[in-house]
Amino acid sequence: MSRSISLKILIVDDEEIVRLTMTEQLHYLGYRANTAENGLLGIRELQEEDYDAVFVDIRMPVLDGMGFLRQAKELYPEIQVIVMTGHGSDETREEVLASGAFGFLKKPFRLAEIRTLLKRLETEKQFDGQPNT
Amino acid sequence: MIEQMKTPSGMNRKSALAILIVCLSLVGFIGLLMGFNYRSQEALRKSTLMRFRLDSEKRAVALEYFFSERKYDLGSIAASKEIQSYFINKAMGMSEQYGLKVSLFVIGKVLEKTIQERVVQGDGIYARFLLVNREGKVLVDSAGAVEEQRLKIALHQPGVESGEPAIFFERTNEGVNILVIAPCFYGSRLGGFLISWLRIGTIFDHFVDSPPAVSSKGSALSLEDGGLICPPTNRECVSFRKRFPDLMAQERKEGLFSGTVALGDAPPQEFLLSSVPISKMPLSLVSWVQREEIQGAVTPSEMLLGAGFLAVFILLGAGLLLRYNTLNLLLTARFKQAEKQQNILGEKNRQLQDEIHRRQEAEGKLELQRTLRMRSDRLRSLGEMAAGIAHELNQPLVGVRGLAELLLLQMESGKAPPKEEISHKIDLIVRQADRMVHIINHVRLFARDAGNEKTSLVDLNDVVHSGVDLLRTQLGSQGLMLEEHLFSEYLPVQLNPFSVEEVILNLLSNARDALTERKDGETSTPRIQVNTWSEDGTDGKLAILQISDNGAGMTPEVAGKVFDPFYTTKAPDRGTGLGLSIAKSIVEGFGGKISIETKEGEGTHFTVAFPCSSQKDRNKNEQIDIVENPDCG
Repeated sequence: MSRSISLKILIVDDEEIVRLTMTEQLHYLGYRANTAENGLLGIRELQEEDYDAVFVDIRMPVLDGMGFLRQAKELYPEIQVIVMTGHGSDETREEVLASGAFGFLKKPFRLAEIRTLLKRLETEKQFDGQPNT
Repeated sequence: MIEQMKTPSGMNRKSALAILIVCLSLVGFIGLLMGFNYRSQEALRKSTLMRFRLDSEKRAVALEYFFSERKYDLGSIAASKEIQSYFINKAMGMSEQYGLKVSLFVIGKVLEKTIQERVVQGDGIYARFLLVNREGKVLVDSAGAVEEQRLKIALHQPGVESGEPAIFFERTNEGVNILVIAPCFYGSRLGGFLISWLRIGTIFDHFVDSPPAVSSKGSALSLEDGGLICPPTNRECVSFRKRFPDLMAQERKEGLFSGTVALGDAPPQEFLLSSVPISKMPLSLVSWVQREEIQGAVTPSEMLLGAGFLAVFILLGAGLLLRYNTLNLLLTARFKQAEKQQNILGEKNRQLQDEIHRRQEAEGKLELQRTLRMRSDRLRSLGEMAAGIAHELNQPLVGVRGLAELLLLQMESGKAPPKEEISHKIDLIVRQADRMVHIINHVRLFARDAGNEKTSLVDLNDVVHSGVDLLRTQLGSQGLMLEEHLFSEYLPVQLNPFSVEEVILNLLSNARDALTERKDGETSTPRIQVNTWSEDGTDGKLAILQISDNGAGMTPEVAGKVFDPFYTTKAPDRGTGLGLSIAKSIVEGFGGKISIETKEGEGTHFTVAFPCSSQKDRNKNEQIDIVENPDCG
C-alpha cells in the first residue's frame, strides 16, 4: 500500500510520556499525529480537525476513554477509535469492542502492534472508500 | 404458686378424712365385737352359773334320796322277821344258849349280807352294823367293838326313840361319822336299836363330789352348825373346812357367796360357793368353783377397760398416721414442687447454655466473617493497589519500550536521528525508569512499614503529598478533580508516614465513593480538596489535614457511626466498613484526632489533627530528613 493515504491520527492520553512516545512512533510509521490531554479536549480537537483514527486511554480525568468513545462515535460515526489501557483485562477488551471501538491496545505495547492495527484500518478504509475514489 | 399449694392441701384433707373414717369404723367394729363378746361371755357366765347351781341341786336331791334309802334299809332290817323273832323269843324267855344265839347269828348273817349287797358301783355303802338292846348292850356287831359311852350319847339323840329311823352325825377326832339308827319294835314294844355307820368315802365319791374333772371344782356336806364334813383324804375339802365358817359369814349374792381360799400349797384363789340344803336332813351340800371358771379370767369391767384402751390406742395411732400422712403429703407436694422448679431451672439452664453456645457459634461465625471481610478488604485494597501500581508502571513503560524500540529500529535501518535527538530520547527513557524505581520503592516501603508503629519526625505535607500521589492518577482517570493546597511551611509531626498514607488513601477513596454516588442532576464538577495548615490547639500547635469532597454527604445518623468498626453504607463488594475505624485507630495511635463534618447533598470534610512536634522530639529521632524549620508555621 502507498503511504500517500497518510492517515491523520489523534492521541488522547493524560500521560505526557505516552503522548510523546506515540507521536514519535506514528511519525516513524509515516502517519500524522496530534494529541489531547483528556477526553473533553479530544472531542474539541475532533470538532476542529478531521481525523481518521483516535488512540484514547480509558482512565482520564474530566472525560474518560469510554465517554470519549461514545461521544466521538455519536458525532462522527465513521471515525475509528482504538482504546488503550494500563491494566485492562479481557472483560474490558470485550466491553470496549462491543461499544464500537476498532481496536484494543494494552499498555505497554510494541510498535508492531500499532502498525498491524493501523494497516488493518488502512485496508478497511481503502476498501470502503474505493467507490468514492 | 398458690394453685400449686392448693392441690396437695386439698388432697390432704380428703386423705385425712378417709383415714379418720377408717379408724372410727375400726373402733366401732372393735366395740361391736367387744359388745358381742361381752354378751356371750355374760351368757356363758350365767349358763355356767346355772349349771353349777343345777348340778348342786341335783346332787342335793340325790343325797336326799340316798339318805332316805338308808333310812328305809335300816327300817326294813329293824322290822325284819329275824330281828322281830329275836326280841319276841327273848321276851318269851327263850334260852340264851340255843335259840337266841341262833337268832343273833342269823341277824349277823343278814347284816353282813346287807353290807355286801348294798353297793354303789362296787363301793360299799355301809361300813358297820350294830344291833343293841334298849340298854345299849351290843347284841350283834358286824365288825369290831364300839364304845358304849358314845353309843349312849348317840342313842339319846332326839327323835331316835320316836320310832322312825334317823341319821346322826358323830364327831370324832378324824372327822364326822354318819350313822343311821333305826329302833327295833316287836309288837308295840321297843326291843333295841339297829345302828349303821355309812362309808363317808362312798358318799363323797358318788354323791357329794363327782370325780374331779376340774381340780378347781369341788363339793362337801355341811352341818347345820356350820361344820364341813370332809373325807380325810380330800385335802381340798380339808382346806375349805378350815375357812368355811368365815366363808359362810360372807354376804351372799344370788344364793352364792365368794371367798379366797388357798388350796393346799397353791396361792389363794377366789372361789364361788353355793349351799343347797338337803331336805329332811340337817345338811347342806356345799359346792365351790373357781371364779375364773364361771366368769372367765377377764371381768367385764376389765374387758371394757381393755376395749377403751384399745380404742384410745387406735385413735392415737390414727392421729399419728394422719399427722405423718399430712406431713408426708406436704413433703411430697413440696418435693414435687421443688422438683418441678428444678426441672424449670434445668430447662432454663439448658436454654441458657444453648443460648451461650449459639452466641458463641454466632460470635465465631462473626469473627470468621470479620476475618474474611478483613481479608477481602485487604485483598480489595491490595487489588486496587495492584491495579494502581500496574497502571502507574505501565505509563512509563509505554515510553521506555516505545522510545527504545524506535531508536533501535531507526539505528538498524541506518536512518539514525541526530545525536541530540538520540540523547533526548535516552534521557526520557532513563527518567521513566527512575519514575518506575520510585514507584516500586514506595510500594515496597508501604508494604514493609504499613501498620508498623515505628515513628519518625516528618513533614505532614510530604506525607500527604506521597499519599495523594498514590491515587492521583486513578482519581483523575475517574474524572474527579483533585486539588491539593498544602501549607507553605514545615509541619513537623512524629508519626509513621506509611500508616498515615494509608489513612489518606482511605479518606481519598471514601471521597471518591461519595462523589460517584452523586445524583445525576448534580452540575458542579466532582472535586476532592486536600488541604493542610497549622493552628493553635489547647496543648500547643496542631498540624491539620483536611480532605473534602462535594459529594453526596451524609445524614447525621450515618455521620455518627462512620468510625464504628464494620459500619458501612456501601454495597458488600465495595467496602467492609473497616477503613475509617482503622484510620481512626492509626490517627489516635499517633496522638491525633479525626473528625467529620458533613451535610447531606453538600459534601463531607474529614479533618485530621496531629500535635506538632517540638525541637526536643526531633533529637530523639534518627531518621531526620531535610528539616529547615522545625516549628509549625
